[in-house]
Amino acid sequence: MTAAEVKETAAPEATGNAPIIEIRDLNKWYDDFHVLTDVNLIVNRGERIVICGPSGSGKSTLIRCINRLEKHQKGDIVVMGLELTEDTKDVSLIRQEVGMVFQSFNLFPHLTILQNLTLAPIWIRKMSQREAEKIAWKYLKRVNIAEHALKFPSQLSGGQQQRAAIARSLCMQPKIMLFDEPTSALDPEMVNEVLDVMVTLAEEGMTMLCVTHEMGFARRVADQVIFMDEGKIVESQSPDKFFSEPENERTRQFLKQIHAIS
Amino acid sequence: MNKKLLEQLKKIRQDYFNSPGNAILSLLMLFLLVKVGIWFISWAFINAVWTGENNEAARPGGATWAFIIKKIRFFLFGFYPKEHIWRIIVTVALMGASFVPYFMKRIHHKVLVFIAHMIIWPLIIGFFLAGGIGLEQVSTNNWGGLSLTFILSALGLLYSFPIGILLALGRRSEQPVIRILSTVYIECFRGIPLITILFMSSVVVPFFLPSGVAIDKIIRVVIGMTFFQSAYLAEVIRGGLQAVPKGQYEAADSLGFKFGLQQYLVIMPQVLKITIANIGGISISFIKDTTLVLIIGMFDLLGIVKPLASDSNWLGMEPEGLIFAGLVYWGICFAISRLTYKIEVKANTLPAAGVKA
Ligand SMILES: Nc1ncnc2c1ncn2[C@@H]1O[C@H](COP(=O)(O)OP(=O)(O)OP(=O)(O)O)[C@@H](O)[C@H]1O
Ligand SMILES: [Mg+2]
Repeated sequence: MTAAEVKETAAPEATGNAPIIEIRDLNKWYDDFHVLTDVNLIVNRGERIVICGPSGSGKSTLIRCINRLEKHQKGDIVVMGLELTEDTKDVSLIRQEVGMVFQSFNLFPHLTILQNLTLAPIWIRKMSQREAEKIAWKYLKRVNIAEHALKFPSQLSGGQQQRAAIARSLCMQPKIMLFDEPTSALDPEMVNEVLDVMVTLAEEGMTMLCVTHEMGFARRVADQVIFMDEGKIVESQSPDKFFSEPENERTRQFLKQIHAIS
Repeated sequence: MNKKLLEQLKKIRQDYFNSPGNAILSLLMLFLLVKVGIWFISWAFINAVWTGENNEAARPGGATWAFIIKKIRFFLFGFYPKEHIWRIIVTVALMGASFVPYFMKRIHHKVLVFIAHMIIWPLIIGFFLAGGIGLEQVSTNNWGGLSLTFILSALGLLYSFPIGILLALGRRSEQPVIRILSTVYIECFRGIPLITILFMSSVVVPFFLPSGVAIDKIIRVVIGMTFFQSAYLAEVIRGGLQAVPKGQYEAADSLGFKFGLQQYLVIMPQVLKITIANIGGISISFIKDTTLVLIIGMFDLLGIVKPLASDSNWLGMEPEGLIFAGLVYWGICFAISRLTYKIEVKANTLPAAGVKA
C-alpha cells in the first residue's frame, strides 16, 4: 500500500451531521497542576484525528477524559450525545461505545487471547459465548493472530499483543477508538504490523483519536493533526498543511526534532 | 567416583572443616546429631511397645504406642459418644465431597460454590454433629480431637476468606468511611493476640448477651477466629491487589466493566494467583492456631493429650501423645504446603504450556 493510495481513501468524506465528540472549554487540574487549559475539539463521525506533542503536554490526559478514565473539572465533554458528568451509569454506557488501546497493551494475563476478546461481550453486552466467540474469531482473523487465539498474552510478541488488544476493543463494536501511543512500547520491526491494522480500521470509517508520533501514519490517515503543548491545543490542521506549513513556532520545532530522529 | 559427589564433599570441607576450631565444632555437632538420632530411633521403634492394655506394658527407653492405638478414637473424635461417631464421619465426608464442584469444568462460577459452602457447611455440622433435629443432640463439650481441629480450621478459613477480600478492598476504597473502618478493623484484630480474642469471645461476650440468650462456644470460637484471620488475610490480599498493575483496571474500565465484575473477572483472579503461596502459609498458621482453643476448655487434637494421659491406666503417656499430635499437625501442614506449591507451579506455568511465538 503506497502512501498516495491510502491518502486518497483518507480524504475527508461526508460525515454525519452531529459531532460524535464535542469538547468545549475543557480544563483539568491534578491538584494545583493545570494539565489541560481551555481545550476545544469537535470530532465528527468517521473522522481520524492524530494528536502529537512533547512529553507531558497532556495528550494522554485529553483522550482519557473522553472515556472518563480521568475526570475533568471544568468545561463540557459530550460523547455520542451524552454529557460526561458524575453520573456513573452513563460512563459505563459511554465506555462500551469507546474502545481504548494502551501503550502497554494491558491484556488480561490470566486469560487466553480468545477469552480476553470475549470477556466484555459476554458479561457486558450479554452475548452468548458462541456469539461472542464468533465475533472474536472475526477480529482475530482481521488482525491476523487467529493462530494464537488459545495462547496466553505472555506467549505473544509485543506486536501480536497490541493487535490482540485492538481486537479486544473492536469486539465491543465501539463507535469510537482511542489510541494512546499504541506503538511506542514496540520494537521497531513490530510497529508496522500494528499501524497496518490501524490503517485498515481508518479505511473502514472508524472514528479514531490517536496519540502517536508516527508521522507517516498521520500523513496517511489523519483528517486533522493536532499539536498540543503545555495542556493547550496549539495547532490543529489538515496533515498537508501541518507538515508543510505549520503556523506555530513550537510545532515547527517539534517537527524538526521528530524528523531529526526518524 | 561421581564428580558431583566429589564437589559436594569439597564444599563440605570448605564450609565445615576450614579451621581446627570449626572442625572440632562440626564433629561435635555430628556426634550429637547421631547420638540423638540413635536414641530416638531406639525409643520410637526398637524399644517401642505396640500392644498392651495399660502403662504396665511400657518398657524403659521405649515409646508406648499402645497408648495411641488404644486411644485413637479419642484422638480423632474427642469424647463424642461412641455410637454416634458415624455422624462425624458423615460430616467430614460431606464437607470433603463438597469440594468436587471446584474441579468440575462445567461449573464456571466457583464463587457461587463458595457461597453455597458458607451456607451448607454450618447446616451439615449443625444437623449431623450437633443434632437436635431428628438426631440426638451431642453437646459441643464432647466434640474434640482431630475432627474438631478440622472443623474449626475449615469454618475459620471459609468465613475469613470473603471477609478478608472485602476488608482488603475496603482499605483501598475511595470512600473515606469504608476505608477508615476497614483499616481500624484490620489494625485492631491484627494487634490483638488470638488467645485474647478467644478469651474475650468465651468469657466476655456471654456477659454482654441478654440473659437467656446463649451462643454455643464453638460458634463464638469460630467468630473470634474469623475476626482474627480475616484481618490477616486482608493484608495478604491487599499486597496482591497492589501488585496488579493500574493498566489492568484501566483496560477493564475502558471495556465498560464496573467495580464488581471488574474485581471478580479481572483483578481477583490475578490477586489470588499472586498470593497463593502466602495464603497457603497463612492457612497453615491458622490451622496451628486452632490449638489455642484448649485454653477455653475445648479438647482438640493437642488439648486431648492431657486428659487422655490422666487416665489412671495410662499415666505418664504425655510424651507419646504430644509427639503423635505433633506428627499429625506436621503431616497436615506439610500436605497443605505441598498443595499450595503445586497450585502455584500450575498457575505460573499455565501460560507457558504452549510454544512461545
Ligand atoms: N495522575 C497524575 N497526577 C498528577 N499529575 C499527573 C498525573 N498524570 C499525569 N500527570 C501530569 O500531567 C501532565 C500531562 O500528562 P500526560 O500523561 O497527559 O502527558 P502526555 O502528553 O501523554 O505525555 P507522554 O508523551 O509522556 O505520554 C504531565 O506533566 C504529568 O506529569
Ligand atoms: Mg501519554
